[in-house]
Amino acid sequence: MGLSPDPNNDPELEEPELEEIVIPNDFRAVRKPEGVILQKLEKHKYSKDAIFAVRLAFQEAISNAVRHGNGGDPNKKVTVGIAVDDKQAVIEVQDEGPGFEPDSVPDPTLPDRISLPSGRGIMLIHAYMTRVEYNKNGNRIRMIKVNE
Amino acid sequence: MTAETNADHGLRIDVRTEENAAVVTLFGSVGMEEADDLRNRLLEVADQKPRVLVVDMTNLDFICSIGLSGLVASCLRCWRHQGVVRLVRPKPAIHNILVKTKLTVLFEIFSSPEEAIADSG
Repeated sequence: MGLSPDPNNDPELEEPELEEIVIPNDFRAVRKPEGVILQKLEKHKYSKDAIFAVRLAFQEAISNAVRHGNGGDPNKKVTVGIAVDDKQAVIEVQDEGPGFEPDSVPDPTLPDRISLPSGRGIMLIHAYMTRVEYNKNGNRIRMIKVNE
Repeated sequence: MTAETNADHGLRIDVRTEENAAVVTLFGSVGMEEADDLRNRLLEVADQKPRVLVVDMTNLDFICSIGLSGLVASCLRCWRHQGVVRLVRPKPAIHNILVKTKLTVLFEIFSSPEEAIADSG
């Protein structure tokens, strides 16, 4: 299950070649790809705020993939795609689950949902990244942060 | 007064308890790996039924949504005994998360643990 860019997205932005890292379906496996991402962001002189934002969004995406997409199944994998240059950081996370419908996720900031312990991950990804896209199946998220 | 430390992974949790208050001081980062440690520790402290549970975030650099879940869970646990959870000095990046998620509705923010405890009446 490779990560293939969607050429139907913004034609003004070149499709980056993604470095692919496949990790076990385990929270502890996040360190390796996260380290690669943070190193690339620093190399390309992204701001502290941007690095914080990408780290947060990446952790949320991995968390969703491990817990919800792959249902905590230790036999499944998560595939991470990374492309960082001076203009933008593109991070993709794909699980082996059936996918989900992003629009079906309720807004965690609604008054009757504020005190619920969970459900903030997707909202945070959208709040902190410049652009967020999903594949048709809903099991791959592409997160883009423009270097401003 | 008691004090103890959990230095697993990138998070250190110091806990200090007083008569009607507990102060949980966080150092480092609450990512996916550390979030369960935080949640478990906060719930343990909440179960001691302090009137105010203070979470000192002065030295916290990062928190993910699972970490936030632990904070909210401890808040709900404290409400059972009419207690409250109060936050101290989150850094701007973390304060921004609290604002975006509207968790500032649940958590009052103070400038020091002493102020947070003193305001508990």
